[in-house]
Amino acid sequence: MLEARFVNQRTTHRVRVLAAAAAGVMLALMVRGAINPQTPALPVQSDSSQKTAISGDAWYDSSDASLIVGDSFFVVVGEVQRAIRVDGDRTVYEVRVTEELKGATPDAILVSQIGYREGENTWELEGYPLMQPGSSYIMSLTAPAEHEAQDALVLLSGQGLGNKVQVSGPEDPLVTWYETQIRRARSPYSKGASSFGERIRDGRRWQNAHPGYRTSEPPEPKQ
Amino acid sequence: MRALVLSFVVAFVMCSSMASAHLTGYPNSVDSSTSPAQIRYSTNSKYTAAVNNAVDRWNAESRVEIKPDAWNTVKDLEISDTNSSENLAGKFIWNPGADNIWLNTRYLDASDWEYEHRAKTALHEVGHSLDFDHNDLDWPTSIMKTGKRFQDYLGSHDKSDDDSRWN
Repeated sequence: MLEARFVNQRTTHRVRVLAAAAAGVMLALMVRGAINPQTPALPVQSDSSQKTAISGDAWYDSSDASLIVGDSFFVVVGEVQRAIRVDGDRTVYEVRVTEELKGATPDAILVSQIGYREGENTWELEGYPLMQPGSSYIMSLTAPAEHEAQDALVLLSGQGLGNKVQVSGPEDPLVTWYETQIRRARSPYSKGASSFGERIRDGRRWQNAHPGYRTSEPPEPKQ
Repeated sequence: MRALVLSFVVAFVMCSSMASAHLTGYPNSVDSSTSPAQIRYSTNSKYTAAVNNAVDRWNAESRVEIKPDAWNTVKDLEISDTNSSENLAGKFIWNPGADNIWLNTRYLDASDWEYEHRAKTALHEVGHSLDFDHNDLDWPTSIMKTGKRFQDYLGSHDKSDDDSRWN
């Protein structure tokens, strides 16, 4: 009897120790959720395909819409019609322009976005999912570099409200907000930066080769 | 009673240290089947100094060994250059075979970019291959914050993330 009671006491003690450890784990996880909000969640998968990541180092704050529009030649509200091809790690879409916010474009344009699908797998820039046919977005666009495909404008990569913001259409309040960002557009470049010169040359080459477009050049760097 | 409190505290501390690391949650380049874990890489990037600095700095810190690919090893990572109009200084792309790091010459060659800016980009991209995600910590705490930054060494947070993940 005494022995049985001793075994029971030891068992009870072990259970209590394990319960305390489990409580510590749970509390740590709760604290993590409270103090580490910047840790990104895995993307919500809209289909069953495996999503893998492209991680990019944007060289300026790509969540700042005034910098993104300051780096672009065109800002449009466009409805994605369909994806037509993959160029390297980018997907090219047909887009119907429903409103021009900066620069002027034809009604139908091609836009290339970083990321692509291959079989069951999807590669996306983290925090920047691939555009969906049928949806409308505010897009900040630049001209391709000399060796890149010359029929598609390049969608600059932004985070949050930085770029490729999904909207209901031209009447969406975000469009009005974006118009104010365009008025406040700032250059992300340093004064005299050669990369700014390359950006301007790409735009002028595009302008010369594509009638029907009117580029609105990025503002001159000030600093 | 002391055992209960100690169990709780130990479990809490262990979970907290693991949970605070900024991990991508996506596949990475590390081959964990070897001991120690490795990344075998090849490079044809012209930014030799920046790439070598990134390899050396992460090797000095991490239990993961980053070594050149050899005839008898399987390549995990390839580092190359590109010239792209996208606003990315560099990018890491996971692939079923060898992963890719692309360094964008448009910016890394730019007149206002110095060696330390290029070094930071290389450190940052190799950090992604080691499973580290972006954060919002300011210079010089971490090179995993995006942006053009003058830093050719790992920050204190990079080291602590590596400790949590690989050590």
